[in-house]
Amino acid sequence: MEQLTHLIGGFGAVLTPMNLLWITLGAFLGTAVGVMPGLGSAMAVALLLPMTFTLDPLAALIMFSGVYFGGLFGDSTAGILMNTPGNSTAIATTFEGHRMARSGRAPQALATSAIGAFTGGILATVLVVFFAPSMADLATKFGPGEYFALAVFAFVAISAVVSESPLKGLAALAFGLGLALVGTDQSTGTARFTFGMPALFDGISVVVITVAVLAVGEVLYAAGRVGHRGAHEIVPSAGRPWLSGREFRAALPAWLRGAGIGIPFGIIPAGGAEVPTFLAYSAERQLDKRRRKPMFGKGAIQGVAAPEAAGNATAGSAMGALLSLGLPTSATAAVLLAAFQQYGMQPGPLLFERNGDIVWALLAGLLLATVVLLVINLPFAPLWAKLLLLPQSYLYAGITVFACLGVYATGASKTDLVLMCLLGVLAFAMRRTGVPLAPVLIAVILGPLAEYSLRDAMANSGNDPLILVGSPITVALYGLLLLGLVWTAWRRLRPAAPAGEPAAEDPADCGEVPRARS
Amino acid sequence: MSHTDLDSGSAADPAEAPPRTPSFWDGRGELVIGGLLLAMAGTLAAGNAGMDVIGDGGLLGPQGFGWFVAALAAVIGLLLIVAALRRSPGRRAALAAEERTNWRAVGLVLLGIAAFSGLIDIVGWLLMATLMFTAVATGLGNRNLLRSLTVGFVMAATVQIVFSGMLGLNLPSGVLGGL
Repeated sequence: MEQLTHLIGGFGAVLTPMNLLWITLGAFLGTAVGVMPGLGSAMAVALLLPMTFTLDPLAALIMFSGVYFGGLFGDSTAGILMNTPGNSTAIATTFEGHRMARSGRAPQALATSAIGAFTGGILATVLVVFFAPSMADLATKFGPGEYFALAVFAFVAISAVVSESPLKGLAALAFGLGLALVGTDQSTGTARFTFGMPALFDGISVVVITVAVLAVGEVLYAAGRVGHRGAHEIVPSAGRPWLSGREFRAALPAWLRGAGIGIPFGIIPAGGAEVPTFLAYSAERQLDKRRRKPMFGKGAIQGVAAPEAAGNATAGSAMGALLSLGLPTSATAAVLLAAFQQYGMQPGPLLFERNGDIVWALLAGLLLATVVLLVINLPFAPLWAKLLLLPQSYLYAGITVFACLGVYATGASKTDLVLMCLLGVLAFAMRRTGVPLAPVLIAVILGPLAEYSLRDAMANSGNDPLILVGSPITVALYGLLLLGLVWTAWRRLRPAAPAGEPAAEDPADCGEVPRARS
Repeated sequence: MSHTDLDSGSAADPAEAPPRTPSFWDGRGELVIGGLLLAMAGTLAAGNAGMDVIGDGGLLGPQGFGWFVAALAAVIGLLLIVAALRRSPGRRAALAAEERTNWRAVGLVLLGIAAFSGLIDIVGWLLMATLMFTAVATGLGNRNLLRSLTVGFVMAATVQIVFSGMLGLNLPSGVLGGL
């Protein structure tokens, strides 16, 4: 139980008043951005990134992790009370959650979702504590061929398998890969695509890209929807804010099932928690149909419990994949990876050796953050909903000010600001056309890894392309990818889905489509 | 502060009534994305062709990956454009309703951000951040100009005090620095 010793050491490093303050701050910020539709944890971390570079790395990283988890705690509040999920990860929770609220059970729905998020987060983080070191050990055997396979896997999974339209996903991927190419070539020193501008020799800063794509693009998109937004009213949440024994017994298996569905998805670059939350929702729906008194459609507590647990379980195991493999599996994880790089650390197999103290402190911080989040969410969810009364105009204006401050703070460079404007417009055009943004970030972060590991693999093997499929790990990764592609093609070519495809059928019987981020 | 403002929420109505003749661009948002991808492919190809390669980079060299991304962008861009052009009128009308955009609001917000980016060094943080805040708030439908200016100024000043004073981040004082 070497891990436990390390973890106790981690708790020792984290349990200082200052670090507890950062955890709490992150938890508060995360919940806040989670509650507010349109804002997400990826944007929050991107905005915080340039402002925290004077902080001690551990303080910043535990705050960011608090934001990551907090976003998934808060996102269901607006969905349950207003039928407008704070984020796409809460759409699945919204179906049954809002029905519970309309039938006067809003406090129970909020409590179920908070405890679900807690269960998922804790279970996944505990698993990460025990398995991440062995995963990192496995990854130390990775050569360039394996890393190239990993990057290709991430690219195809996030752009073609998961996104709504593979073509649009690949378009986003191409933009990201193109942006990552700018700058000096690491192996020859050749200036690439800088067009004589010295400001571009170091490449386009990841901070500029994330802030422009996530914050500026979102503000422009929100402006474009002014006057087209539907008004929603908040269902008041009053009454006993706890669960009865019967409710708890109904929710408990659903929390565990949800966590079980969510955990494996954190390791797959599936763009975050959307897919597992929907899978957890439809699994519960199938189980419900076999019960004597089906509750789905009338506000089933399992329909809230399972997706929430799945969402945070995904975030927990995504931290594991990030720390041990260096593989970001969601937009927020990609921004977190940029945060590590900002502090001169490279997530991946060597992180546990080189920066072991920080990793274990971070894992301890994650466990603490989950507890803090439960405390500030369980009794106070209705208070958080008050954030929805904040004027949208000031909110977005404030985001813009912080976005520009962040980009200016990274280098006081006019080129960065101009790039931010251009990339913000690009992100706006993408949002407007329904092109996903997560593949851009994954491509920007993993693009260089893919390129240099491919070139290293070629150089090491005397330009033998077979080296790319020369080990069991690479074959397994490509095989898994092929399966994913076949599954996607089968899913798309199949005529209108019958049961088990809640995304397609539920909005119809709701009468109104709960739309995230509008 | 006077309370003569009319409203803040219901402002900025959709510019035109829904029934109108569909334009070429309606429901074809991919044309923009496809065009941008083609432009990027062209830029990458031009950059690759004119690249001053230092030393021997092996089989792929510094250019290989660039050619691959250029090809990918060109193919995806063309496919997106073809898909947009071949879309049925009914589907286009549905998409056009989804894509409906308040261009005046987008323009105002973008103007605010662009003005900030261009003038921060000359005019300074305090004034430009206040103006940008006001432009974005107004663009997002807040009609109380005076209040937006006040809130923006307070926020800009707080940021300046916290970041310049406590974190040592240098924000330009611009024209106010000479006073």
